[in-house]
Amino acid sequence: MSLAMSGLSQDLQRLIDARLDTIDRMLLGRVPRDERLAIVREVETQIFDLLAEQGGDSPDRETVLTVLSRLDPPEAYLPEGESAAPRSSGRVATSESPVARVPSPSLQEKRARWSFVSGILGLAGMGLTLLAPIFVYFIIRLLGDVAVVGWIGYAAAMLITSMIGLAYATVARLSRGWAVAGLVCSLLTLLASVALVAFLLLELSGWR
Amino acid sequence: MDSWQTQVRKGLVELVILALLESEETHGYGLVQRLKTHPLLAFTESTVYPVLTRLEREGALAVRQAASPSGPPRRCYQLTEKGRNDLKRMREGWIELRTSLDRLLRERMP
Repeated sequence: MSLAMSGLSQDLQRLIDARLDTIDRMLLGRVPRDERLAIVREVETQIFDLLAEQGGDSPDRETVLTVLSRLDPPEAYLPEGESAAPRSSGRVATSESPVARVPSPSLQEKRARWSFVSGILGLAGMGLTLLAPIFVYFIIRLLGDVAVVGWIGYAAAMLITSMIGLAYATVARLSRGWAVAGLVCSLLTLLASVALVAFLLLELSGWR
Repeated sequence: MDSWQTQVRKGLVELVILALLESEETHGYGLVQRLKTHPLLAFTESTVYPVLTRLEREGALAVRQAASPSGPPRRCYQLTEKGRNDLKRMREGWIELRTSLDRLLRERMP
């Protein structure tokens, strides 16, 4: 909380706080919290020092605006190479929100990678699902009496692929289209693998 | 200012701040004001304050809260032992770099 200088009205304090809040938002998620707070505190101290230099214990609105205009703009506090755009899509950190979580760039990159892997696994699972009838046919023709083993192996491959795809979609928090596609395809593959095993059991009971 | 000068200056902020704090404890805005007396090294607050807080986090600077006559308490910075060692190392590195560059430029002068 900013300390009000004696004679500084609430309106003028709000002007100062608005500038400090803007700088705070620029730095939020980009520098460690204690550094962010320290930087804002430094700017606040500078503002009051400048107001004192302008003279008088009761600065007016014109003086406060002049002092604020002499400061570097809030965008100048951004680390080099970064824009003022919000760090995470769809969410803007404000000084009012007590918990404004912005994933770090490395976590965002990891989630993008996990999403992609989930999508690929999902598509692979769907491929296995679509090719299942053909492979099962060939398994029965080629393996004969031990076709059960091949059948279970194929179903296991579908099951494992779908489970891993689901896991990656989960850790990616469905943050990308790939993750959503991976989730859907993996679920379908999971159902197909269960159906394949059920069909096998029915066949086995029928063989007896 | 040329862009290459800007880039060179950016690499010197830390050395400049440590050097200014070698002789006396100063608060953030005081540091910015002292830098204004060195035209090519007149970094503004948006450059200085983040470096100050980072140096504090790295242990090169110690901070003391001091009462201010005009507003909230000031953060006054001074070098720690680590800061002095860092300054010594950077100063020696700068002298070596400057010597090498001067020699190169002399050799290449028409």
